[in-house]
Amino acid sequence: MVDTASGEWELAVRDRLVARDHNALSDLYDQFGSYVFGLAARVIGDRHAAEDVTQEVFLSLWERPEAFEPARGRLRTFLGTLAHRRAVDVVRREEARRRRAARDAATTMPIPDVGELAMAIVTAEQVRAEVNRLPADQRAAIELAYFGGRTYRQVAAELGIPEGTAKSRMRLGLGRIAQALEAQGVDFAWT
Amino acid sequence: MDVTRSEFQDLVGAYALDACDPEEAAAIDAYVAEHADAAAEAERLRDVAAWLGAAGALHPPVALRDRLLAAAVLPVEPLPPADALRRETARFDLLLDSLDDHDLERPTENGLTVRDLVTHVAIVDEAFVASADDASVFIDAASVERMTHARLPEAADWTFAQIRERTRAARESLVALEGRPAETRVGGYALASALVIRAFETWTHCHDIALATGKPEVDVEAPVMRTMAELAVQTLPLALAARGYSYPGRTARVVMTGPGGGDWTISCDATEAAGAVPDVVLRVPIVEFCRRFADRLAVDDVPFEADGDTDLGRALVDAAPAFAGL
Repeated sequence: MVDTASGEWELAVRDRLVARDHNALSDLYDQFGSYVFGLAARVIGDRHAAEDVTQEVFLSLWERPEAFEPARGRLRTFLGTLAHRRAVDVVRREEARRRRAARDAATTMPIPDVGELAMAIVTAEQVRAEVNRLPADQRAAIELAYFGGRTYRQVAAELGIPEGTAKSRMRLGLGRIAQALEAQGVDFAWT
Repeated sequence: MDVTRSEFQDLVGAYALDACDPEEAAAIDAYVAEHADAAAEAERLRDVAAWLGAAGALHPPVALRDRLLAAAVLPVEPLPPADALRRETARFDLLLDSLDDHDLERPTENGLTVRDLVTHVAIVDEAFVASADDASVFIDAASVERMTHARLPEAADWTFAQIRERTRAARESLVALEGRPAETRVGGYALASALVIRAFETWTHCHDIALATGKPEVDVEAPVMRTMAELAVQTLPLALAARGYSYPGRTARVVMTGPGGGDWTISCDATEAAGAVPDVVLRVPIVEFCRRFADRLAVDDVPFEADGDTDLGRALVDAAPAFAGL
C-alpha cells in the first residue's frame, strides 16, 4: 500500500492524471476504490448501483483531474464528496428507493475490506468512536442524512423536529467530532 | 439565491452531509467560492463526513477495476479519412490472405458468400469512384443493393485472385480521390465522408467474413474507430428523422467507451443546434454502437445505458442503422 499520508503523493498523482498517465488511475483506484465503493454501497444499499457510482467517480476525476485542487482540500474528501453526492442522487430517485426495499429484504452482508490502509482504519475507527459519543439526537440526524441520503427537511419530518433543529444538530455534531479529533491530535484532514 | 453569513452557518452542517436542497447547495457553493474562511469551515466538516463513510470500506468486485480501466480510454484524434480507409484496407487484406477456397463459399451475415462479398466491396468502390465527377449520383442503400445484384454475375467465373485484383485496383482509385478538392462530392457525399463510409463498410465486411469463416481478424486501431464513430454520431440526427422520430429542441450527449471512444453532444433535430444541457446521456461501447450503425446488432443486443430521457436514448440506438445497406 502506498503511504498517502503525505500531500505529496496526492499532488503527484494529480499531475500524473493531468498528463494522462493510465497507471495513475489504477494507483488511485487501488488506494481509494474500496473506500468509494463501501461508501456508495452503504448509502445506496445496492451493490450494482454502487459499482456504477464508483466507476463514475473515478472516471470523472480521470476526465477532469483539474477539478481536484490540492490547495482546497484532500483527495479522500474530494472523492468521498463526489461519491456521496452521486450516491445520494441515486437514493433520491424513485427507482433507487425500490432497490432499497429489495436490499432490506436481502440477507447477504458485505465483506469488510481488511486491506484498507492501516492508518485509515485507525482514523475511521476514531471517527466512529466519536460518532458513538455524540448525543443521540445529533447522531441520529447525521446518520439519517449521511447514510440515509435524506435532506435536512426529511430528517426533520422523520424525527418530528423543526428544520432549524435538524440543521443545527448536523452542524453541531460534525463540529464536535472535528473538535474531538483535533484535541486528540488526529490530523484527520491529512490522514 | 444569495446567502448571508448566518445562513451559511445555519446550513453548513447539512451542506457537508449533502442534505440541502439543490438551490441551497448551489448557494453555499457560490458562497464558499467567495469566502476563504467559510470554505475552510465547510471543508473541515466535509473531512469529517468523508471519514464517516471510511469505516465501511468494501472490496469492490474485481471486474469493476477492469471495467473502470477499460472505460478510461486515452482520448485519440480521428484520422484523415484516407488514412482510416488505408488502415482498414490493410486489415481487410490480411484477413483475405488467410482464407482458403472452402472459406470463399461460406454465407455471410448479409446473405452473400464470402467470395461475393469481396466482389461487392469492389463494385461499390468502383461506383463511388465513377460518381466523383457526377453531382447527380446519390449512392444509397437501395442503389448499392441494385448495383451489387446487377454486377455480381459478371464475376461468376472469376478466380479469387482476379476478384482480389479488381478489389485492390478499385480501392486504390478510391483512396487516390484524397487529392481532389475537399468540396468534391462522391456518391452524393462530401469527399471526406465518402472515404469514411467506405472505411466503415470495410470494417463491417471484415467482421462479416471473420464470423463466417472463424478466421481471426487483426484488432482495429483506436484512431480508426474514432474516425468511424465521428461519422456515426454526426449522422444520428438525420437517422432519427429517417426513422420517423421527432425530438425538436432535444439534446443528447453520446459517450462511447472503449478504445477510440469519445464524448459528443448533439442536437436530436438536424435543423437545430445542440443545447447546453443534454436531455439524455447515452453510454455505449464504441464497437457495439458502430456494429448497430452498420445494422449488425439488434437494439436489444446493444449494451447501452441511457440516463435522463430513456425513450430518446433508445430511439438513438434504434435509429442508428437508418442508412445501413448491404
